[in-house]
Amino acid sequence: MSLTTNESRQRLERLITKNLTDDLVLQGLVLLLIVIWLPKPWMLAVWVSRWVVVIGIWIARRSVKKNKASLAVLQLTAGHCVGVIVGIFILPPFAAVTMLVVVGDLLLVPFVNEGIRKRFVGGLLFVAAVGSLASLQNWTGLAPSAPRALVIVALIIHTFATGATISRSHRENYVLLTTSDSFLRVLKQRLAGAVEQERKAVTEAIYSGPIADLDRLAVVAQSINDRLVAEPDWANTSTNHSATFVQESLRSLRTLSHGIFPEALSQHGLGAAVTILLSKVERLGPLNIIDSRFDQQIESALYVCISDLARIAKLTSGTLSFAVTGGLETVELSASITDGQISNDPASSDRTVSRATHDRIGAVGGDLSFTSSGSEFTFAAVIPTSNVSDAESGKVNLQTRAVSNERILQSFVRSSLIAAILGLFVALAIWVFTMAPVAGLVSIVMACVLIILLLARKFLTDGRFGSCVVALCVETCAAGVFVTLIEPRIAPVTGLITTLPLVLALPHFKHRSLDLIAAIQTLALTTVGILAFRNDPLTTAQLSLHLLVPIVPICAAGVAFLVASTILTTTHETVLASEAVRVSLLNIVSDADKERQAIEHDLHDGAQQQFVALSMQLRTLAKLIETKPEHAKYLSDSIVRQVGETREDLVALANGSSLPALAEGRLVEALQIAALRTQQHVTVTSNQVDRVPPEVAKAVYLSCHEALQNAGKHAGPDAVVTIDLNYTEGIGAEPGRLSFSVKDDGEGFDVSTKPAGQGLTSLKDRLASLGGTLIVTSTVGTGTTVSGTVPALAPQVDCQV
Amino acid sequence: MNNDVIEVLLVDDHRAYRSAAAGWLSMHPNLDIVSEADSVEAALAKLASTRVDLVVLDVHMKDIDGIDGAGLIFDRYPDVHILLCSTSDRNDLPGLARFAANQNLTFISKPDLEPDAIVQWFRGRQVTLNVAHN
Repeated sequence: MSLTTNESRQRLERLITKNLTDDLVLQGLVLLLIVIWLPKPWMLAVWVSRWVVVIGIWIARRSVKKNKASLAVLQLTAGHCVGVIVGIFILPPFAAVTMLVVVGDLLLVPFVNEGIRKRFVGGLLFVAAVGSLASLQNWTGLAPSAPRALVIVALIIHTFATGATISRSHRENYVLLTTSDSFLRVLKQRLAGAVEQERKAVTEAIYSGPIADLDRLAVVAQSINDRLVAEPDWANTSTNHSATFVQESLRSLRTLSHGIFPEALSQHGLGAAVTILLSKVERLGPLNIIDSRFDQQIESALYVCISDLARIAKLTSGTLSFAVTGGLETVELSASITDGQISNDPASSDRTVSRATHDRIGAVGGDLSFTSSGSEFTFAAVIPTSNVSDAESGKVNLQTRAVSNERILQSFVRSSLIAAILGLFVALAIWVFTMAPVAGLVSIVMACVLIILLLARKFLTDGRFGSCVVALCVETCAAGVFVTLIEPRIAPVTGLITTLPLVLALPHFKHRSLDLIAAIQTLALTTVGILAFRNDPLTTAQLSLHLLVPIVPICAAGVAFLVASTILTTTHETVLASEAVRVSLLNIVSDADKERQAIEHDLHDGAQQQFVALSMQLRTLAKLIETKPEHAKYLSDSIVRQVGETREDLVALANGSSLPALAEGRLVEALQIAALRTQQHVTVTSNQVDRVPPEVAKAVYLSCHEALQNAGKHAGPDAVVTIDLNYTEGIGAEPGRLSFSVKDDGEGFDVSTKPAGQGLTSLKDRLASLGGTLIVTSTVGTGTTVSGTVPALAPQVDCQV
Repeated sequence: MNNDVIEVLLVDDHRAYRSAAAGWLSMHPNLDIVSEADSVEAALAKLASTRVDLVVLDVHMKDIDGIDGAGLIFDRYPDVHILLCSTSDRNDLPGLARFAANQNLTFISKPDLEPDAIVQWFRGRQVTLNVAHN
């Protein structure tokens, strides 16, 4: 996974620009020194070699401006590598510090395209090996001519500068990764909140619209039924009025269901949905929508965008035109609103897109930008098509997870242990064969390193990550300094080792501690640099060059590999964690869409049909009152019943139960959905309740739901509610019985003084009509139980007329 | 057989709606609901055994929807008249276009289902229904 978002490019650009500025300032200073003080050949050589680096950075800066982040990193690194090799050839004692540049470049690996990442790391390991090898020989003879004091000052400055760059780029990098991660986490939370709010809004809309209408209708239908015989004229007029009322109510129900989820979007695609959406927008310019279907997530995101743009167009009375174009990799939406009256207030809602648009585009990994100037508003969104399908396919193995610092440390400790054991073995072998005191001393250092590493591993298994990182930091810094003290020619390797603390510590510590670690690390590095420059070795019996020639480059490449793998593990872990968040975020959006779609479907197939049926029955009744009044009573009764049933269905729908689940008798499932929506902790247990006849399922569901609502109102917020369903087989010709109980451990009440609520009373009647019972028991202090049984007959075959 | 009476088969998978529509349509003296069905398959079975002039067919049904169902019915009974109904708007039903040239079929939105208008359309008079002729 490479970092290709806008933000990451901007950060890389900032980083490169900063480096370019630093380098140019440095070049200026060196030039000043050369001109006014020391026009020595070695200084000119250094100055010239640095220019290679500056040119590399400059070219990289141009590439990153052209959005070619990966290429920019390669160009930057190429310049650095040439600079490193040339620099070491000119002044071998500078090798330890110069090698840091390699670490700096390794830190940029997350910006490199995945395809060439291995080759990129391999190339840098090669440069580390060649650089360290080159440092073993004084090639130009320029170094001894440099005055020692000046060189040491230059060395310290250079170490600080490089050390600072490394820590900065690493931190930028890590911050970038974690920012995208925390951005996604915030987005996820916000989306979940928005989904919950939308759900509430839908519930409220159903309550305040069709349910309120049915409440009014219920009163009228009852009085028509009561006065049918006595006052036929009044009944006739009222029936006709009611029929008109139901028609109107149906119209608002249709608008409501269209607003909840455009059916056309899932069935016929974006083009059809947008056509319906924009049929009410007055001023439209050219609209272009590519005639192919995309992933549903992307289509929904684009739909949200376009409806938001339509909102802005309406607010500003501008002309909306847009184009949706797409290819294999991206889908693009570019839109403009012209000739609108955009308000001057920059915070005004007609100048910015809504948060929902931001969130939906962000959720599918897209970028959006918009500008409003004068009377024109322009908008562009680019959505990668691959992200969504990647996320879909990764659904199974990607669970939501945090960045696993433990895994990063584990892999580091493991590789370090292997490296240290190898190092100890080689050093001991050399000592045994040559008896060189240097090898003996290095063996002792390696043994100490091994002990500290084992200690770090112990800390890690105990879960003490902080102590583990501190131990590792101490180990790397001390080993770097001591080995350089013993054998200055290994400095290129030890220089690399001393950069490890920061690379390791970053995910674990906050800013202050990191600054401290960076300071200690820079100190250790400077020490290594100065020690490398020293020409009075600790012992006189140095290792021969032919021994160092194979060892030094191998060690350098090995340590660089350790650095690279640590960085890559950190990056990988962070990216994986954000990816998991993104997947769960997409799931939230898609679940919410599915839910809205289900509600739309239920309103469409259930409630609307019932409303149409009601209006027809009312019109039939009006005619019957005129023509065959003796038949009117039967129909009137049925209308009263139908109004009640339609209301119950809508209440169930508004509270989140899926009517299809109930219609198919999946009672447990519907109750589980209802349980999720309540504030209390609700558990649903069931025994042998598989499929229940729909009318029984609905009656039991509504009874349990009413009991849950009551528990929510009266039992107190901490009450625990248990819903238990139990099926008992019938004996002989007896049908099986379904018993249910809803029990809370709340405050309870005195049944004798407080009558059951209206809701429960009507449910009692409903259950009685099915041959069932409902009992409410409650004791003050121990809670309330609503329980009942009902015969669960096999579903009846729908008889035809 | 009385030539004035139009024999109607009512096809809808929503039971409450079906019985309401049957009651409402049979208020008209020239409409006779001779049979009801809850799916296209059931409707085809009824058509095989019952003489029917007009099929009032719901669009949104499980398994085979009304639009495909109308095609199946016309394949076997080209002379029957079909009245497609839905709570959806006809703009939401692009599939209707395939019957644009068929004079024996029309679409009506369910809330607009009026017995008088049905009878008039069936008798081939000039009526202003939501006719699916583009």
